[in-house]
Amino acid sequence: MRLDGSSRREVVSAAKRRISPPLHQIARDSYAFLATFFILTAGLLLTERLTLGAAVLVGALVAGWSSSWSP
Amino acid sequence: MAMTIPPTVSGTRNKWFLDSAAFFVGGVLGASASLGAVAATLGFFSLFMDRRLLAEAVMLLGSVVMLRDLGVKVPVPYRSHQVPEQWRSVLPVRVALLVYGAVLGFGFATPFTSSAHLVVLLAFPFMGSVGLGLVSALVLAFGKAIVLYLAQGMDSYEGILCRIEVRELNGRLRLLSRRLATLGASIIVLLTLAHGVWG
Repeated sequence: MRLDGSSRREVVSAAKRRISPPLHQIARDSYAFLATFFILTAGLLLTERLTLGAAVLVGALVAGWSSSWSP
Repeated sequence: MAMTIPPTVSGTRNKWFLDSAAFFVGGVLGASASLGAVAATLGFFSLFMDRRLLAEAVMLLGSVVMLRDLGVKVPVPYRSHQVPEQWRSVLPVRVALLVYGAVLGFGFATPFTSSAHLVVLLAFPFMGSVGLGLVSALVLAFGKAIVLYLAQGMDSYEGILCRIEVRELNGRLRLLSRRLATLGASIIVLLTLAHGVWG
């Protein structure tokens, strides 16, 4: 038990929540999506798998998601 | 779209899943229709145009549309109306979601959202694979359906609005990050297309 009354398990689960936010937060977060796009592209480039097909699939995911937030 | 779609105040997890699935299936159908329409159009032009010339035309069109992401008002072949909201009141929820998915998946029947949509459609015929086209339609519909996760477990529209956090989403930095992602996607698609044709 900590001084503020929280158990070790509560402290650990709060820390985990900070590291990996709930899915609904990711679903609406543009920064998370921008990061996902760059990680995907970098991964494809580094593994030399950036073919037209792979680029179109990444583009389709970005196009679909970004349009969700249009007016 | 995020504000229009959540009629999915489904309550239970199973209902939410089925509602989301209806939207997703509609999205796949709509995206497949637009991919087919663009492929048929480019296929027609390929009858009397060289492949490289066609690729140049696609890259030019894609580059012009990317200017729209940067705030330049260039004409785009999109209708400037959203999906009619009254469909939600006259159709059963699941049917409404299917139709919403189809219209939004098709893309051209609603306002322009990002250059990546048109660039992906224009580049698809150069992949030379119908199977990859179908996967693209699935991925596009999945991307559109991610927003429905916000309705999961919610039993009120207000609850969904809280999760959407409209003010935060429309902040300048978030808008910029969305535009960067769509511009980046358009750029890598056009660059890989150029590499495939001229590389």
